[in-house]
Amino acid sequence: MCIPKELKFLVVDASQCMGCRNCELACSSRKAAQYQAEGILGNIRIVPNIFVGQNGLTKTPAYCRHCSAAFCKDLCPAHAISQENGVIILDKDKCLGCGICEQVCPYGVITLGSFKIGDKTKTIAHKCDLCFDQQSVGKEPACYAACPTKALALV
Amino acid sequence: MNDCYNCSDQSLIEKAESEKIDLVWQRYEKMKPLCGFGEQGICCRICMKGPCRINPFGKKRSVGICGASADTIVARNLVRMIASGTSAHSLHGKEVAKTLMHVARGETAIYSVKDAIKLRNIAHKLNIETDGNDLIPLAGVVAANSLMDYSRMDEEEVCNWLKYTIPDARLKKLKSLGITTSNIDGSISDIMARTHVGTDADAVNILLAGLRCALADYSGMQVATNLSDVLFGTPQPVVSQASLGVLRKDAVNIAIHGHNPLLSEIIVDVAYKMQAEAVAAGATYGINIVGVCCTGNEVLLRHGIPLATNYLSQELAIITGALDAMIVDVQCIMPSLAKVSACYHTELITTMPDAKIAGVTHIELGSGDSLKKAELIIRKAIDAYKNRDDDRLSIPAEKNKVIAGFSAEAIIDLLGSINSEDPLSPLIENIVNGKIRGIVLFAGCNNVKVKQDHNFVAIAKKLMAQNILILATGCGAGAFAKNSLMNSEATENYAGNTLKEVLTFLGFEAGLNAPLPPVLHMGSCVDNVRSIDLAVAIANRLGVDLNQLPLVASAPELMSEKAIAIGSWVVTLGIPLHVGLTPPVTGSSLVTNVLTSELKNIVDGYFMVEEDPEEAADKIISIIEEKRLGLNLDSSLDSANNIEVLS
Ligand code: SF4
Ligand code: SF4
Ligand code: SF4
Ligand code: SF4
Repeated sequence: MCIPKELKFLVVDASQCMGCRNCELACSSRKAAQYQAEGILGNIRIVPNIFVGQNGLTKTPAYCRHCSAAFCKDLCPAHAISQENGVIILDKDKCLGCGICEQVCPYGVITLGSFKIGDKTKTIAHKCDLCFDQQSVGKEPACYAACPTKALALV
Repeated sequence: MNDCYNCSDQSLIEKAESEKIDLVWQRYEKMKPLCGFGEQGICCRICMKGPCRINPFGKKRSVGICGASADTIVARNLVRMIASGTSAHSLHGKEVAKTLMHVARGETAIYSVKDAIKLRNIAHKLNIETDGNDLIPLAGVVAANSLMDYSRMDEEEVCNWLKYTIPDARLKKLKSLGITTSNIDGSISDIMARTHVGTDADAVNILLAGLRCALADYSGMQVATNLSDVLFGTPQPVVSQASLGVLRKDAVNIAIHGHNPLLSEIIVDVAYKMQAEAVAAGATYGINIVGVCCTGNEVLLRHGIPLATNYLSQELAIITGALDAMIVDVQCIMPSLAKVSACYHTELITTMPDAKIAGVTHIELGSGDSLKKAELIIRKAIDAYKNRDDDRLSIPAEKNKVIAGFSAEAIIDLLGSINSEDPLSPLIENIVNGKIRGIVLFAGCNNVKVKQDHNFVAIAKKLMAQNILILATGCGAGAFAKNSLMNSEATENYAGNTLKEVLTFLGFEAGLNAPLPPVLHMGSCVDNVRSIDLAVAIANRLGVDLNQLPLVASAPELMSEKAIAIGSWVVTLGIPLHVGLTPPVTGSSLVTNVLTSELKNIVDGYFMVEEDPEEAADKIISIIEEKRLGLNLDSSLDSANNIEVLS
């Protein structure tokens, strides 16, 4: 994987989050496009990498913090998760679908998804990659771009 | 935390959970987060260039694609809610008026004039010549005068049901503001027209039109309530029971749910005649009709039919496993009933052409063969009873005594037994001498965002302890009925000393041999106009306007567009209104400010938002005291002095 150095990270100001879930929708749309390119669209449930929750009146998204000491990276038995230029990145080809990362992430932002190849079912983990493909061509991450109040900011 | 204040309801929620049936509370949790743009009223879907949302945090004031500001968008959304609520109520009223017209023309064998006195009183009220007019032709004239309120062309005129039902001073004020309505349907289409893309963009102008539409709502509700009384009888005090414990193991249980008495009255009549069939099917008690929501209130008041539940817990009636059929008409019927009833033996039946649910049995009532259709419906219930699974039965033990049926006429009759010359005087004297500090009308729905019924009960208990008399309608009345606040024991337990004294005196004078309840059940949500009729009678008797009375309204768990419409006319008539949830207007500080404060300078009434029930009660009490002060009333003054001050 080639993660550019100048990648921006997400922060959120919960007081400005409207709970509109546009970020979820945008993340899911990008995934749908990727799945289509991979030929598995319709064969896998689309789950975003960002999740908006509500507690009382406060609404806020949960998303990957790209932890400096990341449990997901440290505990992955397949070494499928690595850190490059501060970004915690998951290599789908190495992933065994064991679900350990999903269990250890303190923010609950890794999900497992399964799809069929022939008569076999393959399960892999999904996590936020900061839309590095977009960022490297000067575009904004999908969730940030879609956030109407910019409760999500880039730093 | 419990979802319902009522423990029996709560136990059924737990039963549903164990049976893995999702109810309104789970669906609400799953829906979270609720979109903040909608919550604040700043999402506009009025045209296809959008939808547009206004960023409430933006440094620059953002606008919609067409340039509409947050103020415009919030005001448009709000008045469209008022228009929808108005449509719901006034269509109900129009159907009742049309039915009365059919009676007058001899076109129906099903309905008749049941309350001739009421008909004559209405004619008198509407300034219709009654002398020498036979009953049936008079019914035709009253129906025509009511239907005129839906079709008048002359915009200078004022709807009959508005101008003849409010104090002169109020009418004058509304006229001077240019917000009286001449045509109920016209006021609704005015809202839809002016909120079309690129029409009215002045938030204040839009809101004023909203108030006019709300007065159309008021007029339509007057038609609905009053003409229903003519057709089905004016409610008189009646003793019954409430809460889901009214369902019976030994009966074919049929719930009637919705709002329109035109249909429920037929079901009630027909069920009565089919008792033997139910007994033959093994239900020793026969048929047990119970009410849900405002159809429930209508038949509770007129027939003493027990009230099973109000809005939010409607699904729980099915979860008891004891409900054999639920017959629904219009409004506030959760579409989820289809799925929930499919998990049980319960027959769900829709009956109105404009209120169907996909996949649900539809048997239309309202035409010539209604009696046959009603028989068919009852027979379906009896058949369903045979499939009841006793292992899944869980009827809560709790059922509470309810004294209901307090129409304005019933209250005045009751007071008249003390002073027939001046029936209102016992009530007025006690308000003047401070034994009753004031009157609060509770109305409106339940909302899943509040523990069901809790706001109603908590606020009312605090108010009655402070000697405030409480009137209730709609699902608010349902909340009090279910939770045992509509009986003499509640007066003993919760009313302040002087209120208790007055209610006890009145109860005995009226021959009930027990205190009147501290909360008087005035009917369904359209029946909110009954409380206005009472208030207007008091105001006229004192020669003051409605805004001067120590009278406050509260909708502490509101939810529907109808509630927004009612709330809007309540404030337009000059009465302060507490709401327990924030309406979707906070995206515009202008609109919020108009509703919560500026309105007071224009129409005297205003919205007071307070989500905490304890605080809300305190604020309501202080408004009542403020109003008393305005009338020169104080508890330390004696009644004779005050009457002089007033007159
Ligand atoms: S997935 Fe979870 S544990 Fe891994 S880096 Fe992101 S927030 Fe940290
Ligand atoms: S699911 Fe994949 S990425 Fe996650 S710990 Fe297991 S192998 Fe590693
Ligand atoms: S898009 Fe922005 S405002 Fe909307 S839910 Fe996501 S973070 Fe909150
Ligand atoms: S009417 Fe204006 S604000 Fe509303 S959706 Fe259309 S462009 Fe947007």
